[in-house]
Amino acid sequence: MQIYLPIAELSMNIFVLFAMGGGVGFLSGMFGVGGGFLMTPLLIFSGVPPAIAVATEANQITAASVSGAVAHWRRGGVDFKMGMVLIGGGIVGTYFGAMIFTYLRSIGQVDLMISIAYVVFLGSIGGLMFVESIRSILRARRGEVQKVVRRQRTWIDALPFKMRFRKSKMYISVIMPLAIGALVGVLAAIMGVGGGFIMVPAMIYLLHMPTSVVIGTSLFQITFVTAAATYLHSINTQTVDVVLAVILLTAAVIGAQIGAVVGAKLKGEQLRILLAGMVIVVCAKMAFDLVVEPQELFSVTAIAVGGH
Amino acid sequence: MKSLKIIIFVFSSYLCAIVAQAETLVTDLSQHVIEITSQFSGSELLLFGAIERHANESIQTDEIAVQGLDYDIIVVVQSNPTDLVIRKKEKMAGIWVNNEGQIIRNIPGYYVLGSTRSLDEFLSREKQQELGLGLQNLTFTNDDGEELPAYKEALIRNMVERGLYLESSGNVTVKNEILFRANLAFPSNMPVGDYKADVYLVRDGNIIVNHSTDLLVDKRGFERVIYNFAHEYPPFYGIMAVIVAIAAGLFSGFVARKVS
Repeated sequence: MQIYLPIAELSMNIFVLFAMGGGVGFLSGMFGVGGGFLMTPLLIFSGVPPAIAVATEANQITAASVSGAVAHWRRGGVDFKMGMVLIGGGIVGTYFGAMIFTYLRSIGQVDLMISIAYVVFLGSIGGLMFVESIRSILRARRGEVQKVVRRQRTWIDALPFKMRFRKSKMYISVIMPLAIGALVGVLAAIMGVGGGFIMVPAMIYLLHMPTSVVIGTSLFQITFVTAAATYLHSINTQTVDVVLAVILLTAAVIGAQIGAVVGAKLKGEQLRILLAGMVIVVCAKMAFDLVVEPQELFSVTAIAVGGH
Repeated sequence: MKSLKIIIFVFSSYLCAIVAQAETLVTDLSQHVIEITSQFSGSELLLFGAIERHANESIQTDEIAVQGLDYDIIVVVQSNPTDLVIRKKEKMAGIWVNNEGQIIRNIPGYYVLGSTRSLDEFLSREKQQELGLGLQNLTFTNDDGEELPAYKEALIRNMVERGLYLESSGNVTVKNEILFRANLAFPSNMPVGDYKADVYLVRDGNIIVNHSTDLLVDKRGFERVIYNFAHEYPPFYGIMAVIVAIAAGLFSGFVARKVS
């Protein structure tokens, strides 16, 4: 059964969309990730214009992260003060991201930027995760126990504008969280991802936040930042397809429930290596499409709205 | 005397009409509006009509019959002209990058030509060019009105690939030299807007008469509401999209908790 997507202006098979949403939802439930970095490329590969894929995914991630944020908040797993600082940075980042997005779309380069951003971020994150999980598997085989190192003071501790975060039991400069929030905001606007894959490691390794509040706080930030990205894309480029977003999120919710059950049965290292493998495959496909000579060198588009 | 003059006048003008236009065309479409709804996956349309002959049959029955055998019909359906951008990918630092592109003004976003036979068999190249019939005779000009032959082939190829441009023959049939019909198929990615369907009647290498019918392609129902909302009230659409997402997220979280 075909369904016509009003903003994307194309007709797609609704079962294919359900399968995509459900599949990515399954994986995100299994790995505990948002899934935007898989869903956006998948939409692009299946013919949705990249700009619409990105903006629509931002919208879907809002839905995917809000219930998680609420669940963590109930368990006391959200540091609101830190969340607010991250959101502050995030909104600024999203604003600039959306501006870059709009400008590049008007000169016909947005697809290229999306591909490059994916190759760079997925490549580096996937590579790091892969190496890291291989190492920990090897360590586990040798029976070594990872030494707990008392953290050293770094330049990060020397930054000014310190603020107390009671929930996280920290007294740190707001510059780093603002910068992290801003980076994640830019990524949300130009890649259609929540940015959890950047923010969670950054919160753990750069800010040294307690792991009990990391996930909840990042979900809290992602909810607001992707909402801002959705809003800005709606205003600037009218690329948010609500119909597509609702179909995908419905399927993703169901998939995520099943995925969470399956994920609970697998070991952490195995999960991470699987996830890393998948990230690398998506990245490789994107890189391949950039490097290999396309069959059709010319592309024709209607003049983009606001593109003068 | 006066009445005779009138009769002569009426009669002579009738004769003039025969000379100037021996045939007229009556055409219609099975639908004048193509509605893009949520189940839209392309559309089919029947263009049909009749060739009406006004010649005095008592004088030249035989001639008409002979002439009637070589009627040909050309059907052109096109969307109102718009502006398109065509870009070429060039290799830069190892990756393929779009160049700045060319704007092509006043070009239909959708153009389909159908005919009884291959155009060249019954209409000279010069005539085709003069009337702008066929994909090769569309004009590709930029802002300064310059022709852009370099981009022409690429644009046609691109649009044909997407099913938006098509030129085919043998898909218009004429029955008993009176009735004709053409089945037109439209792809799901057809642009919305005003279209026109032109029918040309050709005999002896000349276009005898042509007739134009309007066609509207528009989003309807839910699809239209969403599309118009997004384009006319972007801030409210953005807020609505966020509210829908948050409501859906919270609702699904609630259901998931109940289920598990």
